[in-house]
Amino acid sequence: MSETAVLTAPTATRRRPLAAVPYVIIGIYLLAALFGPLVIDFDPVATSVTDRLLPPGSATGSGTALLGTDGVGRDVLAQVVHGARTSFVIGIAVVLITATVGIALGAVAGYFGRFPDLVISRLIDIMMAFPGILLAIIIAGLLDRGPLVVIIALSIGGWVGFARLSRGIAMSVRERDWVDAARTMGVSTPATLTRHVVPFLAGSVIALATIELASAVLAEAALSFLNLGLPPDVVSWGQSIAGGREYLATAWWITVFPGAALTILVICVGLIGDRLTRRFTRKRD
Amino acid sequence: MTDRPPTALLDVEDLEVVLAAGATTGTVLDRISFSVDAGRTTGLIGESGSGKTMTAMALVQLLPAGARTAGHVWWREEDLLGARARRVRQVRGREIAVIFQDPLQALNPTQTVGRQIGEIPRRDGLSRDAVRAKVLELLDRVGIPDPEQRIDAYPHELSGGQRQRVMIAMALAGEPRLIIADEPTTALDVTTQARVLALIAGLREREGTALLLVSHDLRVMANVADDLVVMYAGRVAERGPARAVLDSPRHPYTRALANNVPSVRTRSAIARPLPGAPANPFDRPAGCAFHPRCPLVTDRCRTETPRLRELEPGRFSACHLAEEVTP
Repeated sequence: MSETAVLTAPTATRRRPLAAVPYVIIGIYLLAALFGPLVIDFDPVATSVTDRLLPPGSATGSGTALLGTDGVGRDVLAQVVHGARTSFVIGIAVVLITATVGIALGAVAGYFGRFPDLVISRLIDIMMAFPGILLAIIIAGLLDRGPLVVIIALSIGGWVGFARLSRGIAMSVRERDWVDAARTMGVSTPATLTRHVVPFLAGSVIALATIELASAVLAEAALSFLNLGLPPDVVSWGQSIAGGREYLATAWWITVFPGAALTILVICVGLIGDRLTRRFTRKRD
Repeated sequence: MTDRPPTALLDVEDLEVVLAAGATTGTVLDRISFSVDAGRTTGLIGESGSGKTMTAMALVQLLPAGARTAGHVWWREEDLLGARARRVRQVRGREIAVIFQDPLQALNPTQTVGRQIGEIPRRDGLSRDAVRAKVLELLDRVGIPDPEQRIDAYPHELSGGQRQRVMIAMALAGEPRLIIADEPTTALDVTTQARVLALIAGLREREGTALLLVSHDLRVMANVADDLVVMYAGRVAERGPARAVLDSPRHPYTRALANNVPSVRTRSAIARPLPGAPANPFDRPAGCAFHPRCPLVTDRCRTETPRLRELEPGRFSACHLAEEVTP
C-alpha cells in the first residue's frame, strides 16, 4: 500500500483533492501489474470449453468469473490483470530505450551544433514525416511475433520526440556560464555533456516520458489487436479486445473490460503527463 | 612588436579576433599586445564592448562559434593559439584558471560545491577522502566559515560572496600559474567586493600566482593592479605600470577614465562624463577609434590609425599626440 501513498503525495493535492485521482488510479494499476499475477493464476493457452462466454459473476469450474469468460472459457479478470503487467513491461521498456537514444542524439546535436546537428536534425525530419505506427506495423509484420520485436518496432520511431526536446534544451544550456566554467577547468567534452548539460534535461524528459508511456501502451495494444504484436501465449489487452470482437453483440464483457482498462490507464497517464509538462515548461530557465 | 621581456609569463602578440554577424564581419579585437608577468596583477580595463572579456576568453580559447583568430598567445614559450585542443585542455584549469563574473551563473546548480571544486583533484586520480580533504582545505583557504558544513551545499544555498569564494576555490584547485578574473566583484555588493578583492590580492601574494583582472571599475584597478592595459573599441589604447598610467595618462581616453572616477572627497558624483558613446568594434571610426570623443583630435587622428608605441620603458600608448596629453 505504501506505493499509493507515495504516488498521492504531491502538494497540489492538498488544495485540489481531484488532482490526486490519476495518481491513485495509476497506483492501483501498478499494484495490479506487480502483485496481481501472484494472486490470480492464469494460463493463456489453457482453454475450458464448458466455461466459454459466461457473463460476469458466473460460477466456473475453478471459481467465480467476476468479469465473465471469453470465447474459449478463459477468465476475463485474469486477462485484465495479466495484461496490465504486459502493458507496463513493454511500455516502460520502450520509454527507456527511446528516452536513452533520444537524449543521446538530441544532446549531441544541440551541444555540438554544426555537422552532428545537421545529420541528426535531418534524421528527425525524416522520422517525423513517417507515421510511427505504420513503421511499427511494417517492422512487426516483417519479423516473428514476440515481446522483443514489439519493443524494437515501437522504439524505432519513438525516440524522435525525446531527441527534439533534448536538442532544444541542450542548445540553450550550452550557452550557460557553468558550461564555459567547466571547459575552462579542462573538463573533457563527454564529461561536460553528461554532467553539465544532460542533468538539465531531466524534468522535461520525465514529463515527455509519461506521455510517451501512454502512447507506447496504446501502440502495443494496437499491434496485438492487429495480430502483429505479441504471440498468443503472452496476455495482452490488445489481443483480448481482438478476441472479443466476434462476440461483441452477445458477450460484450470480453471486449469492454480490457478496453476500459486500457482507456482509463492511458487517460490517467496522459493527465499526469500534461501536468508535469506544464510544471516543467514553466519552471525551465 | 617583439618586446618580450624574459620574465613574461603570458605574452599576447597582435591578437586578432574576427566575428561574423550576419553578412558583416567585425574585427572585434585588433592587434592586441600586452604581457602578464609572473607574480603580478595585470588589469584589463575598458568600457562595455571594448573587448576586455573577449580578450580574456581568447586566452583560454573560449570564443563564440565561428570566431577566427590571428596573432600569438605565448604561454611560457608556447603559442596557445596554434596548440592542439588536447594541449589547450591541459592548460585550462591547471595552468590558467578562470574566475567568472556571476558566480550564480557559473556554478552548476545540480551539483554540490564540493563536487565542483573537486573536479580537478578528482581527475588527478586522488582518492575520495583525499579529494574531500583537499576541497575542505581550499574552502578554508578562501575564507568560507565552517567548510565541513558548506562542502555539501548546493550553490543556491550560499550567499553571493560565498559563491564567489567557491569560484575562487575552484580556480585555485588546479594550482594555476595564472588566474584570469573576469569582473570578479561586479555581481557583489560593495562591502563583499572589498573582502573578495582583499582575498584575491592576498592569495596572489602568498601563492605567487599571476593575475589578469578584467574590470570596468577603475577604483578596483587602482587598488589591486600592478600593470594596466586600457582597451578601447577592441584595441589597446595605453598600457604600463598602473600607478604611472593613472597618475600621468598618455592617452586622452585613459585621462577621461581617470578623471571620471567619482571620488568621495570631491562633491560631484559624476565628474566630467565622457562625451559620446563608446565605439562599436563592428563599425569602428576610421583612424583612431577614439577620435569622435577626443578633445585633442587633429586631422591626422581621423585618417591614420595610431600604432601602439613605446614612449619610455614600459609605457605604451596608441595616440599620435601621446607626448601632449597632460593629466
